[in-house]
Amino acid sequence: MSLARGFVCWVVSISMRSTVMAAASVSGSAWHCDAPALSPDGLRVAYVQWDSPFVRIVVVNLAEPGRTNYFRLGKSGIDPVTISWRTPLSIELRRGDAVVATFMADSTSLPSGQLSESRRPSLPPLDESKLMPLLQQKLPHRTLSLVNSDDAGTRVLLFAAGARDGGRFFVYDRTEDLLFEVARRKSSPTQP
Amino acid sequence: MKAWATCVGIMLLPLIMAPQGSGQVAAASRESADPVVRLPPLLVQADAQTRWLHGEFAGTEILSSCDWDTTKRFAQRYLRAKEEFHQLVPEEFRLNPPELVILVPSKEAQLIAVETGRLMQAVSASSGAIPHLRVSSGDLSASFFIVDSHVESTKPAERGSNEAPEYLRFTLSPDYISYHLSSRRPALLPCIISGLTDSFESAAETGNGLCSRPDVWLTNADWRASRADVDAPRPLLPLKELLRLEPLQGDVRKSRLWRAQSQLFVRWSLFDTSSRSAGFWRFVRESAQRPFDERLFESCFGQNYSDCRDALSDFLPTAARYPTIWNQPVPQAHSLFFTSAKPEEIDWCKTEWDRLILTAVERDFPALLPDYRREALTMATRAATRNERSLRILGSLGLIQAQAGDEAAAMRTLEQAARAGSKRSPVLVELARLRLKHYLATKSVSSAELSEQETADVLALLNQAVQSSPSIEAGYLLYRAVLQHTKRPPTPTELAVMKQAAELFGESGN
Repeated sequence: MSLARGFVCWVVSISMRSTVMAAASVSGSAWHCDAPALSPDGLRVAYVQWDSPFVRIVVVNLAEPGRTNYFRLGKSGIDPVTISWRTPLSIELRRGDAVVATFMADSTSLPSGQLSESRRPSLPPLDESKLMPLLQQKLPHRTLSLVNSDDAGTRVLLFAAGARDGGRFFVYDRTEDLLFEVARRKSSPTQP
Repeated sequence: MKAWATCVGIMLLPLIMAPQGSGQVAAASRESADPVVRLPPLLVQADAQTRWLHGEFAGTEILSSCDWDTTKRFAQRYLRAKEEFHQLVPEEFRLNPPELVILVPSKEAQLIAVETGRLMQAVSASSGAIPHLRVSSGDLSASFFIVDSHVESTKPAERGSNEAPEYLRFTLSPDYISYHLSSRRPALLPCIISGLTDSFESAAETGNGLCSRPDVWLTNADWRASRADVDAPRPLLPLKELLRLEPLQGDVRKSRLWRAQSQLFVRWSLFDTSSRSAGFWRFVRESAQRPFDERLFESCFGQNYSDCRDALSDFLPTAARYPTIWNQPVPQAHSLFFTSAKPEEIDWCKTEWDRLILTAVERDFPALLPDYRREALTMATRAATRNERSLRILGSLGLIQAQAGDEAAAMRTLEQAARAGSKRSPVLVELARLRLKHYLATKSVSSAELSEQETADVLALLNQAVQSSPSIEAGYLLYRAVLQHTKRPPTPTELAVMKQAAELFGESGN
């Protein structure tokens, strides 16, 4: 189970917006993000994004970059929450031990198990001590920290701090040797 | 020094926008089931009554048997396309060989050898452009077009509109751009060549000047979503990999990303803000001259690899969605004046075309090479006889004789051209090669050393050649061979030439 912690407030409502074009109307640079979590199959990243007083959960799809989904959470005070993936398609939002919301991340996307299976066989087990120097070469001048990985150990979610902005989240695909940028954290977030 | 072992060969490439390259064209022509009809080489059958127009404009010599208006309009379009390329890439960073352009109206197309016609048709069929061919060597690039000025447009809806006729709607092909960038010495980084080529390919003339539109690379499957969603996830290569890698044939996705990101990098450097272009060209220059590292990059761009990767990522949604403006005006059409071609000008153009096409014939129609050589030799000999004072025709004759294997005749002709003052690099290098061979032939195998006078004879020619055409690789190779047959140690001047060769043709980057 993938877990990540963030600070989100009182959940008022959850509504799914399937929104390629709607997202374009929202300037990504104005939002602050936190608490990302990579799905067990390595195909999606969910994170909390807010621009006071609004809060939402964003789920990006690495296999289909145009299928980002947004779940509006409304507005309220600060409470720590965690995002966790129950299955490759369902997300749990927890405050403490309590599950405050459960929803499908992307009911319209293709089954992801095949991609995950195809990546699995040829890789040695994930070894952080070998992986970090490799990633550091790819992202010099950054302080890297691993957030989590998928179940197969083929993709890892990492945070790169030290940029002129607040840092960026990446997914590194070990099979393809590719870095996907999945979210930016602004240096001066407008927290609720 | 090992990197300069490969000579710049004659290339046969499409000039106009063509999605397929010359290799495919050649393959297509070879696969045709039609029997090859043996005809004499290109152009030599033009009848005596053909009226040729001639003009020379900034290193581009044009010979045309089309009417005056067609010739002028075509030349204006061609020169404007070149000028746009020159606006994008300063002279220092591209090969600048003199160009020879030959235009023939379609009604005279039967004058063209069948083999050449088939190659042209293959290019035309694959690109939708007018039939054309281009052959290049290090010292000259020659293009041949069949122009049908009576066909204004193939699309009925466009007839009667003010749009330019079909034969004027072209620009320089990616092959042309890539050839002029990749042949430059010292060699540019592959990502620079790729990025500049694709930026030019997607260029458009607008009322507000030149721009590069978002193309298939910037809107590839991995990046397309960023057109609509600035936060869409996207893969980008680390800068270190972008700058050092060449396209990976086996890894389709990474290769596609490398090409797309090369273009993104060029657009970001040249067009995002005006303040980066000086640093960009400095980086292009210095990364070609010596192994480069991140410090050089940072000194040129004011940011390190990771910051630049972030900046490219931030620039991507803009580049994938909107045209990037060059801040350069569309070049004005110049007034061009053509005159009736003099016999020497006609003979020179025909002789040079016949010479350059030989290598293409050898590659694509090897069985016909003896016929083509014989015909080229016959026509060049006649041309040299008719134009006794023409040094350039004399030089071409000598080069054709050498290609045909008649080295004794070639040496006589080339010596004559050199004595008369020919400065053409291929002439000097070929003569140096023949002199060296001649001197070595008189030696025994065990002591194949040149005398001081023999060494001086050969090196004098090569010094002239490399001074006038610094990128003529064959000249340096021969220079090294001469020094290897010399007993004495190289002089400081000779060492300086070899050092220059290493700088021009040695491996760059690390």
